[in-house]
Amino acid sequence: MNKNEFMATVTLSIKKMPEEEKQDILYDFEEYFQEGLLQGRTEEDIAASLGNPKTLIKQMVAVKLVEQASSSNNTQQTLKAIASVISLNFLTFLIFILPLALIATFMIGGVASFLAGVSGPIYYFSNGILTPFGPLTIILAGISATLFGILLILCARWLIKLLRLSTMKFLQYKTRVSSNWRKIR
Amino acid sequence: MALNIQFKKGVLELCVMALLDRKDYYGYELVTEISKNIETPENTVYPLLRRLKNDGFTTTYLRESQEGPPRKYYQLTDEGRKAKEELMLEWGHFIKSVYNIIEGECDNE
Repeated sequence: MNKNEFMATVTLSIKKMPEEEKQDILYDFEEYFQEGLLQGRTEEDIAASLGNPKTLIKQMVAVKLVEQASSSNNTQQTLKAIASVISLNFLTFLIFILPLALIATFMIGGVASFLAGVSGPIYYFSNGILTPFGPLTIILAGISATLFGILLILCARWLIKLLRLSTMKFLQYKTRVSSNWRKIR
Repeated sequence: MALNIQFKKGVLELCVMALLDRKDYYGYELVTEISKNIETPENTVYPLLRRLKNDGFTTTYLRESQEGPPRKYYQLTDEGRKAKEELMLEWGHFIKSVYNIIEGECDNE
């Protein structure tokens, strides 16, 4: 890959960024190529040492999003950060899907139980349905279901907090700067 | 010297700011300067410089160069200078603490 091809790919990958950031990134790559050429390296050599431009930009974006998410604790930013890491490493998606499914189960189960516990007795009493259980039993069952529902929802919320903490740690680990360190010649 | 990766990142920020406190540098010059002492990937320095600029700790200007197109030089702002002083204090405390632990161990031997 020569410099023009490399820079063209970079330009395409950073299309959606704010103008100033785009210019900064392009300038930095240009400067790096310039320095390399001054040292007598070839364009192809420099481009090869930098690696795949698309991946480079994805990594840059992921590192930045993770940094922002860890300092702000904002859910939307955390989700963006997760998405950017997944785009680099698909396995990350699999790591998240289990805890997310668990949280969803608790939430849905909790809400369902809560609603059943509240609406069941109301329905029974307003329609005078014949059941083998006395009214007291119905009310107690309703209260238990409601409380159980609340318990499940609280568990879900606690799981969400736990997930957010471990997510940040995991994302920071994934975006640590290590795998593409190269010595400057 | 094998340093922990995350640790190196924080130290890099301090090194860059300390260098900029002494004089203005352009991107690659900083990479070269730090590499004299610590192996430094350009991969970390450039994004760090962009972040410092976004945070308002540095400003940039162009200066003509004989070797090619004008170069973008980084300059520390007053805010940047303050941040650098804070980082240096933190670093000093950290070094002292580590040294206390290490020294303490040696005393027992």
